[in-house]
Amino acid sequence: MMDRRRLLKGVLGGGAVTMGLPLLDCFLDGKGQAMAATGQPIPVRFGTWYWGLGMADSAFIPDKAGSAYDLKPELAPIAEVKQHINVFTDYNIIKDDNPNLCHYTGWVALRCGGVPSVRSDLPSESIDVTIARKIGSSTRFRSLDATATGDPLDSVSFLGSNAYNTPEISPVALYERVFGAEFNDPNGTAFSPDPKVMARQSVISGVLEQAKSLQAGLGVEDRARLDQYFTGLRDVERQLAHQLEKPDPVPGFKAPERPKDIVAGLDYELVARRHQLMTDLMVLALQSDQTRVFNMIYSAPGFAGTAKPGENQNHHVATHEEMIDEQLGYQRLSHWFTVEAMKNWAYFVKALGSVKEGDGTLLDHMLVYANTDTSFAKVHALEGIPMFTAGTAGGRFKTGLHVPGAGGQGTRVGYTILEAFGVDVKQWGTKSNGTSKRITEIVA
Amino acid sequence: MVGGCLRSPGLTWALGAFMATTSLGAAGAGPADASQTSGDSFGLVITDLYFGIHQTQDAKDCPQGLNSTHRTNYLKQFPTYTARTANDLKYGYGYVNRGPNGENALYSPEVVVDPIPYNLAIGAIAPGINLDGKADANDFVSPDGRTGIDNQMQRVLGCVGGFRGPGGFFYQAGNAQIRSLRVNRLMFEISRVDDLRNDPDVTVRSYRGLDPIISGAGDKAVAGTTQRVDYERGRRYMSETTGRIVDGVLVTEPVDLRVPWVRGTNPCCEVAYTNEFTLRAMQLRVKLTPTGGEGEIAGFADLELWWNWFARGWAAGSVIETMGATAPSMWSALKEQADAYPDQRGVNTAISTTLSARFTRVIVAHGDNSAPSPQVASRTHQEVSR
Amino acid sequence: MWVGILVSAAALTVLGPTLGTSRRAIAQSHAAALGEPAGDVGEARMRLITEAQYRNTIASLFGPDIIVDTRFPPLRRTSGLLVLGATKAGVSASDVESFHGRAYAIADQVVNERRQSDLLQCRPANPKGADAACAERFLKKVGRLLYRRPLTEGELNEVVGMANENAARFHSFYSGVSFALASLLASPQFLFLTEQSEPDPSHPGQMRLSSYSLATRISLLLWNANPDDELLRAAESGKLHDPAERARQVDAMIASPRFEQGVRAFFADMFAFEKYNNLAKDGTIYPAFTANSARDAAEQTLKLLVDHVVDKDADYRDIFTTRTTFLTPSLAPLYKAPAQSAEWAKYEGPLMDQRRGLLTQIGFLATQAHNGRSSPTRRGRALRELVLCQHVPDPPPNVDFSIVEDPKAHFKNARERLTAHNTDPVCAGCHKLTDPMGLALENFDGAGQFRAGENGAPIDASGQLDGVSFHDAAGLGEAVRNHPGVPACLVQRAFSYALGREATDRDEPLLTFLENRFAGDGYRVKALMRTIGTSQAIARGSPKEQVAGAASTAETH
Repeated sequence: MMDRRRLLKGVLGGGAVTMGLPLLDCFLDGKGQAMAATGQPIPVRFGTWYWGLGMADSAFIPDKAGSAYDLKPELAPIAEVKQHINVFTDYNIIKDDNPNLCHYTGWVALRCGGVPSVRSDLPSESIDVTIARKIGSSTRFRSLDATATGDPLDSVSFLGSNAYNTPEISPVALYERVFGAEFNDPNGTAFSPDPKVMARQSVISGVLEQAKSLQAGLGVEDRARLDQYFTGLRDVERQLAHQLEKPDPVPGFKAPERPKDIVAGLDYELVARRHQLMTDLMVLALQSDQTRVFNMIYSAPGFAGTAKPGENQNHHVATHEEMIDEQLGYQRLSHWFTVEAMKNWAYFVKALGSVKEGDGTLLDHMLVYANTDTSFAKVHALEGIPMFTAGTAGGRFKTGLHVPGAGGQGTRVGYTILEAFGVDVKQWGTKSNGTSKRITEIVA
Repeated sequence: MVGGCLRSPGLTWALGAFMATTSLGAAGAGPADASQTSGDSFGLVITDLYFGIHQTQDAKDCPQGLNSTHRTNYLKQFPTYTARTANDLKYGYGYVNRGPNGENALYSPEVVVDPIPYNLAIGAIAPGINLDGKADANDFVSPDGRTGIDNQMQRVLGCVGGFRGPGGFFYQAGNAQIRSLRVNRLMFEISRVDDLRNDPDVTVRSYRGLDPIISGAGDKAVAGTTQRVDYERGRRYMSETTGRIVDGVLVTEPVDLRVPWVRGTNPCCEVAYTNEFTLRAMQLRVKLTPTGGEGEIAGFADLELWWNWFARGWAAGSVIETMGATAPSMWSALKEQADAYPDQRGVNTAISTTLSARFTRVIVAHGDNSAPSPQVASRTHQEVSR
Repeated sequence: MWVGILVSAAALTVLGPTLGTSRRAIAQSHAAALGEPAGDVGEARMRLITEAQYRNTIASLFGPDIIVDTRFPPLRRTSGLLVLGATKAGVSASDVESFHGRAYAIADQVVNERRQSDLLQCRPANPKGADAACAERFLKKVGRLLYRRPLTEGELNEVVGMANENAARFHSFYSGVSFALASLLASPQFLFLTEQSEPDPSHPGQMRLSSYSLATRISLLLWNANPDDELLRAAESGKLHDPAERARQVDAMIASPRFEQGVRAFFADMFAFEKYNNLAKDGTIYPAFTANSARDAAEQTLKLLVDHVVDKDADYRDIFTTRTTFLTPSLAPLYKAPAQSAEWAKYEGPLMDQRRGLLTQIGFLATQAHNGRSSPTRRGRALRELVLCQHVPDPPPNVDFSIVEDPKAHFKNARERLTAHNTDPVCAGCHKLTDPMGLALENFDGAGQFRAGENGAPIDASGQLDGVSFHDAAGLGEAVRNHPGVPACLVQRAFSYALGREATDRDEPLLTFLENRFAGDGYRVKALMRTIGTSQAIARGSPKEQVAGAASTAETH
């Protein structure tokens, strides 16, 4: 593990400032490439993508395994980016003695390895939180979360049962947060550290002092919640430190314009526009190293309600009420919604791949993990729940493969990812979903 | 507005007033059911308004191209830098103040001369109404095949970029201001209706409304909202005439109508000055739908009133540049194409004009002023007071 | 034994007059408490401040024109209430970031030029530098109102020091105060509401809440905000534990205009108003339902509730039968009515013939429906869960709806579809809990608009609710009104809302007592709030908490 500390000495508002700042973590053992401008190794990022209500087996699962897999109608939208994507089918979640909580058990299990017992239960932290702890502690944001649904309750990133990472629901709000007043443009010409930042640092130390006295009288659970506050406080501290430092230039990066907001609603076109605007902002945030962990939701984890004008059934209702079309072999409208989701998945992957970075693209220097809550949504089936990965994780993964799982544990994908990011876990997942078997087909 | 304490509304409606203006349709049916013969009256508020111009593909109706602006005329009138500087230093505001004594082209159009010829729209098709009941040589044929259409204004405006859709400045901005400014809220109340498909005798009154247009998805105006009548400052826009509905199309007898059409840019100036023009002997032709209608408001635009509206309201300053027009030639063309209301010298003082409109159904609320009789009532062609 | 009793009775009769006065006095001052059974002992939980509590507190401290426009982390409904979720909610890193950003934004507004004289009430000796005395005066006052107790000496010194430090840094007294204020607003002492307990002198062996914690509970219940200066003074003087003084404070708070905020917050929680956040309908199927309609629909229900339980102080149950509603120009088209004014107007006219009460307001009908279709099952379920506090189980994972969408069958309306669906006994089990009521609302489509028929067939709106039959929405409203579960549910929710915990079996006698009082008071919500606010239960402490008087607080009583 390579660490470089950089000190910023300067005179600010009358006082000298010295700061130590851990910079880009390197764990690539020579497989990594170097950024042209600074000679630093290019960091590997981790992102997740989520769509609701699964797919129709006969319209989705490729006949061929391995590379050069065929694209059935629901995968047709990814044709242009197929070579970057791995498709995982025929993997399972084992419930043990837990109930199948509709539109919940599936995504919870694939995001944190454990199966919930009741609806408010989240057995452990989500995989992005684990990886953010490893790679997210040197960037301005530990992680960035967004949802295209407009509902702040839609989140699949969580610290545990009581704390989800709240997603941004509006492109404008995401822009303001990342590229607003507090953004230091790496390619900007003028940089002068803002004395307000130092004042805010003094606020944080003041808050820390006061908060300590609060801890004394609390029970165990409440103390844990207060600890979350302190962890968040350290993140705020780090953000402030970033604001005082002139960032390294990023070739090819251009700060975005403020987007226009989009009216509320789950009309598929509104969702797609929100998704597109937020994806574009995320891509720029990644390019300029504002964050290295990111989560995007296309349609809701619970009862995805994407709508098509004129149809009185939204996606969720259609999956349950539609008959299977005798000729097609799947439900017509539900299938239409799944195709829409896959179009947006393709947009997401394509956008990440459109940014040149080092010898390749941004997508080459990351791993995206995409999943859903079910396979056949009509019956909330967990068998054969599909997953994707995109990107090579800095050369660690092969891509462009269809990997059938032969009924194995779906958590193997998560385990393989954690391994690739150097997270020290003996196994991932609990009980029958606990695994330490990597998926060798995708490991480079 | 929303939230907070319940305030007593500024205008409360007496039950009687409400009863007097029940919307068309008994409880449960409502405007969505056009075939029902129930109810007495309904309102149509203008939600989209344009000058009725028939555009052909590739602007074939303007073979010489679209019209020049003040600036291009100015550059032709003063071809050298020296000439321009001399004029500007003397009279300022260069390309508009180019009369022989520096007169302003907009406000002295008969004194300023444009070197570039003005292009009239050619072509035989125009939207509108056969206002004079005759089929003359210069009449048009409507897009749906009716003959004798009187719309000489098309000749004048047809090759002015600003009036052409979809991107023309006035086409967009004028329409936007019809929607957004309440001072422009013009509506019609059709009463004594027995049958929405065929009715030989209905009454049609015009009013100015007080309320905003409520729109839903895709900016589509919501049908069934309420428009209060502006009795306080809107009496100028009240008129009354009779009409009939034939196969679902409403047509009316001629009556003079003032059309408010302000180019405001922010709410503060709505009440300051209502920029308007007058259509003499205005007739309606509206294809009715369950939620509104579409059609024409046509009449004879009084030249001087129209010019005042245009020059001072919409073309003032450099906006005419964005319109794509020049004042002297346009005024000249207007006089040339004027086809009605000759003065003592026999010179026509009004020009047949069509406004293309879309309407949405509203409930017309008369409030406490239950007397709907208008101040500007005219079923014959009388002089309109200025 | 008989003799003993006779003697005792005689003795009491003899002694009676001499004891009478003091006993009467005691009886009077303990009137509220007499007969109140003991409830369970709750576990003290730290609450995360809710968005509404935060906003109400800021507004009352600094004025309603302070803009607080960033989004708060959403709470998750727990046991029927969001405030119970607040007792479990943690904070993610982005939440902390968001609280901090908000603190600076508010503090900036507070010290801007317009406000400086009103709020600070003292002028710095030199506006370009530090002024510890003036800063201390302001921060001490504000800190107490934010932390719901006076700042300790250490806390005060710390925050005044921060003001001085930043005044020097920016050569501005007001900037210094701004950052100091921000540190109070971002502090967990403000953001997390903790409860302290102390031994209860009138019930040896039991714990009661400290005065400050009691003041906080009462203020959250009645005003959904931090305790104001007067309530804190009552707490400080130690008198808040005196039943007469507590009753006086509670009555004053209920009579105050701020009580409306408390009512709004309580019902918004009980009736799951977060559903309005994303309320949108299919624009082609329901063109009259716009974004404004969605926004106004939420306010319409709240206005009705405030009008009914605050302004009219009427029987809560009548909220389900009232012919009153409120319209705006955006809601009127959904009723096919003329707008009554340019803004909100009360409406009780003929178009209410078809509608009765809260269940026929646009909000309930539209939130408990699909994008482009009504939903009898969702409406029935919402009635059970939100109004009757009954749990309806989730559908099983492998339910087959295809009989409903069989193209060969021609179901004209929801009733026919559901009847076919419920031929399966597995489905019927739960649906019979929900559909008979939901179907009574089928005259109202997914946007809440009235319809006499669907697909050419008239709608049959008959049904039953736990044995009571009706044939239209008005009848449903009546049946709901008279259902014993309705007041019981309100009481249960109010109890949990006030005490910050779920009711347990041991609370049964107490809940029954509260229900009886509620009935005796004519089912008036103000009376219920008063009963709870003056109860022993709300003042009950918990044994796990630290004892008051520990080093970290400055409580003096």
